[in-house]
Amino acid sequence: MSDEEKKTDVAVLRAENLTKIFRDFWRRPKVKAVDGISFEIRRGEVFGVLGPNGSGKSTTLKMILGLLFPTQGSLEVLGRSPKDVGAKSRIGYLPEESYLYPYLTAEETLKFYGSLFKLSDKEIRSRTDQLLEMIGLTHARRRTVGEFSKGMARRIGLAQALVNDPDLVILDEPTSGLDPLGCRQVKDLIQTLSDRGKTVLLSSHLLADVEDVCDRIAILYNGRIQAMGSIRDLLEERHRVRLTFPELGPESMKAVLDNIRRIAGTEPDLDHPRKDLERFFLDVVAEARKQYEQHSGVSGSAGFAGFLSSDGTREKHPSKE
Amino acid sequence: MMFSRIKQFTRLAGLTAIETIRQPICLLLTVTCILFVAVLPLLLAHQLGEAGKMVRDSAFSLQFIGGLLIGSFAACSSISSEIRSGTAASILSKPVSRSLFFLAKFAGISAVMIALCTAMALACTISTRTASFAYRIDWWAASPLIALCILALFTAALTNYFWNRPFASDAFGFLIAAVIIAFVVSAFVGPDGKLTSFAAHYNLALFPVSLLITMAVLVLTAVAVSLATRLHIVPTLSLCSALLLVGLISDYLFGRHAADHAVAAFLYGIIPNWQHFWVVDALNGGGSVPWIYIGWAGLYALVYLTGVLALGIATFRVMDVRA
Ligand SMILES: Nc1ncnc2c1ncn2[C@@H]1O[C@H](COP(=O)(O)OP(=O)(O)OP(=O)(O)O)[C@@H](O)[C@H]1O
Ligand SMILES: [Mg+2]
Repeated sequence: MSDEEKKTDVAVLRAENLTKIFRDFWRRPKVKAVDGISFEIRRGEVFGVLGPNGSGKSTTLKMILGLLFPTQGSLEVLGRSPKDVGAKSRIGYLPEESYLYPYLTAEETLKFYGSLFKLSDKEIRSRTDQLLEMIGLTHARRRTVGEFSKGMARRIGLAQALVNDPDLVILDEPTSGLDPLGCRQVKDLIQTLSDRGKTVLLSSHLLADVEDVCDRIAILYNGRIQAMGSIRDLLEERHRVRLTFPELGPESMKAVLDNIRRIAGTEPDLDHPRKDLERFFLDVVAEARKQYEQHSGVSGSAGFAGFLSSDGTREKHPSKE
Repeated sequence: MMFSRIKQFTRLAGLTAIETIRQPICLLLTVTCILFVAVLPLLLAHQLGEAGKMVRDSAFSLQFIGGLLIGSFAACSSISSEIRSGTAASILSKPVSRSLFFLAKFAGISAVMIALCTAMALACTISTRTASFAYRIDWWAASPLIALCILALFTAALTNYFWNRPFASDAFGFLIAAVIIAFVVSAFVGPDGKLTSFAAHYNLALFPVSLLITMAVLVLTAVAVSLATRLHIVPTLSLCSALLLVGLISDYLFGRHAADHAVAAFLYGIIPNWQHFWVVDALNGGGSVPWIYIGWAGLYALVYLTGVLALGIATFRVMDVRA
């Protein structure tokens, strides 16, 4: 991993024996949504929480944000308790479903969220512009969010989470509702954030997304961690190797295979590598976009918001406020 | 730090107020209340000189009930619905403390309630004048009010059509403005159509009565906001209505027994006594409400308000925000 040196051993998030029991109106226990999980996320890491529906992913994230209070266990976020309001100025959160104020326009929405932080009006305006550009909704900035499609609302949700240039980004199913372009963009964005030393915690049940971006994952089932570790450690089949080379003539191919058979003593698997569907889709859309300069939904966007991709130095010292 | 808190507070409160008046239900109730007060004198003409009193009493009751309904609806739509939909979660995941969120919600809704109560007080004053003569309607008071209210709704439709502006909030704003303009216009014209000095024909003693009702409405709103952190619209509205009813007859229910039963005394003390805020009968026979009384009632309301809000904040702070 090229950005290994940026990662440090500073724990941004520490959960110990975290448990959440939902109670009913009469305070009787109803569901044990999270059951004694412990984990640690270090600075600059992209950590994925995976699991089937109802396994406790969102519940865990909401406890980290101080929206839900743990029934048991302890949590430390950026060195503070999740109840501490001050720490939130360095956190960005994309909720599972982005319900926004339906009558505000895209621009007003981002400005509103920006105004909740200690930012100057000028800064808020410039960030709003950059974020709208990044999520490809500049042309829809004056439309009310209520009439947006699901994916467009999701993009606003994502922009809203980044308006404070957070050190810890918590994304609950960031790619849900997005088209493959949006997914790719979000994944690239996560990579960019991580390269800048930001910590990203995301939940998903789309395995391909997680595999692409996460350094480490935890698989939740029924509120418990079933497996945890770095993607490489968990997935790599260390005793097998794959070779890729250009198509050879039948003669040379036979010679290569014979050699392998002779040396390794086993029959090698042979197939043509395939483009994955994502790659293919992106190629098709890129081709099509050349022909239609404009369309009504989300337009192609140019890179990332400047304030997100510039290599800030402030983030290098996470301990001070 | 302080400055950014104030900025957060004003933004949140402002947004709450705007979102509240953008609810169609809020406009519907407001239009109903104001138009009802405006046309009531026409319906009650020929009531043998009692019309003025009847208009006045109905208008004030409507201010109370309208305040209760709009306050409860607004509290639920901007708190319980936002908690359920996840909007509250997205705000509370920013550096916004729960108490600030709660108080800003209350402040935003209160601003709408104050606008509504002001309009109701003005409309009531105008309509009481309309109905103040036996067997005759003061058209110089009635027509500007009715005409301007209808014009307000029409204008909102136009701004929606031409500038794509939200109808409900525009209509609400125009309606309040219409009532104020109608009040000022009629203030200069006497029942005979001649110019008079400002407000010569209005009974200004109605305002303190309305002010007291506004205080009661704000206390009810605070109760609704506190309840809305946990409950949906139906239970909130039911509980607030029950509180209103019980508080209205609390003298009868508990007051009589307060001296010899501790429970009765406790309930008598804890349930706001709305009778303190309902002083319209003092106006009969040309009387007025003494300022010192208004001061005491204001203090009473303030104590309740503080208590209810403090309780609301205390429970909201330890509550799970389940989105
Ligand atoms: N507010 C709530 N009240 C009661 N039970 C809840 C509440 N929220 C979640 N649960 C329960 O907690 C468990 C975990 O829910 P959670 O939302 O964390 O799952 P998830 O992993 O995010 O699922 P999904 O993939 O569907 O988003 C579920 O059994 C759910 O029914
Ligand atoms: Mg979830």
